[in-house]
Amino acid sequence: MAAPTAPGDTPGPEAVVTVALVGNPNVGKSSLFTALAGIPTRVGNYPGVTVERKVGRFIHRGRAIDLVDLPGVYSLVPRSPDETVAVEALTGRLTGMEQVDCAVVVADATNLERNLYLASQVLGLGLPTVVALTQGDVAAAQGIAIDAGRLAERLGCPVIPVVAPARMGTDDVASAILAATAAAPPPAPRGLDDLLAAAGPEHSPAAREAIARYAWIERQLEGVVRRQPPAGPGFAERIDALLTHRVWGTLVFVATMLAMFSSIFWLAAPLMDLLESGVARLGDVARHWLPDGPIESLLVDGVVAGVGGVVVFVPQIALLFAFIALLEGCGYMARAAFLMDRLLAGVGLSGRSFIPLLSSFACAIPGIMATRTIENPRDRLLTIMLAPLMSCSARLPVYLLFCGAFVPDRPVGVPWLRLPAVVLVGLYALGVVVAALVAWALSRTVLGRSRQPFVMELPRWRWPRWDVVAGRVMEAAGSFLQNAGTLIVAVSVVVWALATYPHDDAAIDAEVAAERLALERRAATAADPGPLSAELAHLDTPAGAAAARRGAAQRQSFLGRAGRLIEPLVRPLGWDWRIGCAVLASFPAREVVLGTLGVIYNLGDDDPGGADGSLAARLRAATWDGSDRPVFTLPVALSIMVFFALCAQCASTLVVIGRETHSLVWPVVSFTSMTLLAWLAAWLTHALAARFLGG
Amino acid sequence: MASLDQVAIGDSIRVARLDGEDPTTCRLLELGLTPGVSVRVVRRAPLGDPLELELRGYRLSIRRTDARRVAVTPPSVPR
Repeated sequence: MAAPTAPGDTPGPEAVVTVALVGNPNVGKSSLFTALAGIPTRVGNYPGVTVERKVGRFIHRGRAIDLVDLPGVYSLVPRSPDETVAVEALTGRLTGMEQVDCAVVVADATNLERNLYLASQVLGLGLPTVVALTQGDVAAAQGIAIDAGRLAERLGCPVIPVVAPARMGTDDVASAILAATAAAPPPAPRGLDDLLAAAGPEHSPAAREAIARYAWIERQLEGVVRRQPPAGPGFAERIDALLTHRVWGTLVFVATMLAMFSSIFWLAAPLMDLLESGVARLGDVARHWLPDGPIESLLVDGVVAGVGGVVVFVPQIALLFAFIALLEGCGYMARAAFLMDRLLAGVGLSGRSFIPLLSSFACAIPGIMATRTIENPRDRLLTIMLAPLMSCSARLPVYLLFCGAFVPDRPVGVPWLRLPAVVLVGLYALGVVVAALVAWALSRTVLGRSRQPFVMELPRWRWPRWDVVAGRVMEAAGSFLQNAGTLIVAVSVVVWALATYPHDDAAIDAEVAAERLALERRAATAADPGPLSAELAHLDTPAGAAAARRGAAQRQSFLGRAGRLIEPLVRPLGWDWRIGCAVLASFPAREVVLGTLGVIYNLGDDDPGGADGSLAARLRAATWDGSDRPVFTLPVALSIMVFFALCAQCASTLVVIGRETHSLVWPVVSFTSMTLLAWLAAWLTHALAARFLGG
Repeated sequence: MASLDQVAIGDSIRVARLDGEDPTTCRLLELGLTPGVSVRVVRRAPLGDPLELELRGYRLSIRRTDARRVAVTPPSVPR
């Protein structure tokens, strides 16, 4: 159908064609969506459910086509939220969505029989329908030949072979959509009623329907699908046997996971350092050219630092998605889930959650993004909730500092093992154990047990497509930068402002002078005035004076006041208000806590992990206001570490949770529940440690 | 009657019955585990669960608790 171009013939708003993309999970629906409509113009949730709604508009032959990506489903019988959304969208009963003008059924050519089950249900709706046949290249490699023309005749609707990543056949799909909307809808599946009547009466109604539909499908496929036995019989089978073997399969799996994990943990590190130093240089340049003052501070410490905090995640996201796309592309992803399912079934999850959770040990952000590979929305949500409990690489510097500075370095009776290492391992274990408990508790309460059985197709082995891998990496990094990046920068600017204002020079001078006086008094009465005099001498150096002023400024800021305000809350954990302050300031990212502790204890912002251990020494010397009692004892250090193991002090993670669930509810739930858990565990740790270890 | 979780690895059987209207039974039916279809149990995961099945030209993984609902007969027995 040609696009009307004459001025008197301008199409009205009704001329926008609404097309729904429907298909089984993992059949290449997303690839087809991207090939047709590019990047979606609108991404959100369907009303009332956490089911993603993706809409994109494209123009074909002058006609605007709105493409709606429906959730991947096996059936149109509404039993899960996904299926309900799909049915209501197709039948025009979904609030806020246009009546669908045409349904495009995406069917996998390597598995046509099962894919046509959904197609047979869509054909029964009386909508103009187009079948897009994907994976034709893979099917051909497996010796499966499909006569698309003959299938189209049988079904009464166009059947278009497509290779979406290469954009082969996508134009034909668009043309077929326009033609189908102008023509009569295809007939409902012929002969289905007779088959239904013929299905044995001894079976249940559901079984009779399935028997009848599959019998109908077998009839349609007669002479349409021809299978040739693969040239090298059993080659794929032998690979399969090896990779799912008790010993060899497990070894390959562990090696693959190690390679993936170490690449996002260590291979990404130099790239992240490069990005961070680039951003730091940008800050230095800005500092050089801008006059000193609030604008300079806003741009350098607020905006540039915030942008740095965003781009630093990109290497990990890109590497993880390259791995996932490769594993999915060759078919190993489903095997990995097959191998690990038993392990996760115990806590109400499936094997699909393994890779997202493992990745979260490097960083929860790529881990949460990786939950896109989990088909079941309930399992996906639960995995998103658990991911931030895995100890990520940003917690490591916190653990290392406090383990190194406060946990006694003594043997524990096992050769090669010393106490700080045991505590470090314990902190990693704590996250896992708490995650398992949370999963168990949520499965029995809010989320309920999965009502959908764990079913998973194990695709045949094939070569990954490089264009698909590149596309996945670009999409993941792009959507992170575009959707989450701006919000993360905004959060870090807000926290910068709270830590900087109000700024009253007179009050700062007064506080520095008062501190000096207190120090002098203590030095005069102390038994050993040596360290205190050294501190006084340090205050007279330019660096010492600047650090003291910065510390005073931060203590007087909104953040400092908030720290004093929440002091009653952190007292039970054994913390003074300064620690509370540092924890508040670390909301943009956990590792920030070290820098904030440095500033707040008048260290300036020297590298907190510095080799001289200056921060550790400074923290050991810190005392409670107006006394000689040290702040940081072993119980306090343990309670800080336990708090950081479980808390949600990472704005970026919360932003990504919000973006991935398209809701404000889940980041809020995640933040409050994790903070509560972290507080309780830190309180318990402090109480037990003070009781049994002294402090 | 034997159920699908009891079938020896490598054996082919035919699905006899799958009763009930619960979500699990319905999903298994929709995936093609219909009475009369021939199924081969390819393997069991190294940890003992889930199972890998071959039916209707594709490979499907289901858990043993779900496989227990599927009553099977040897392929030689005509239905």
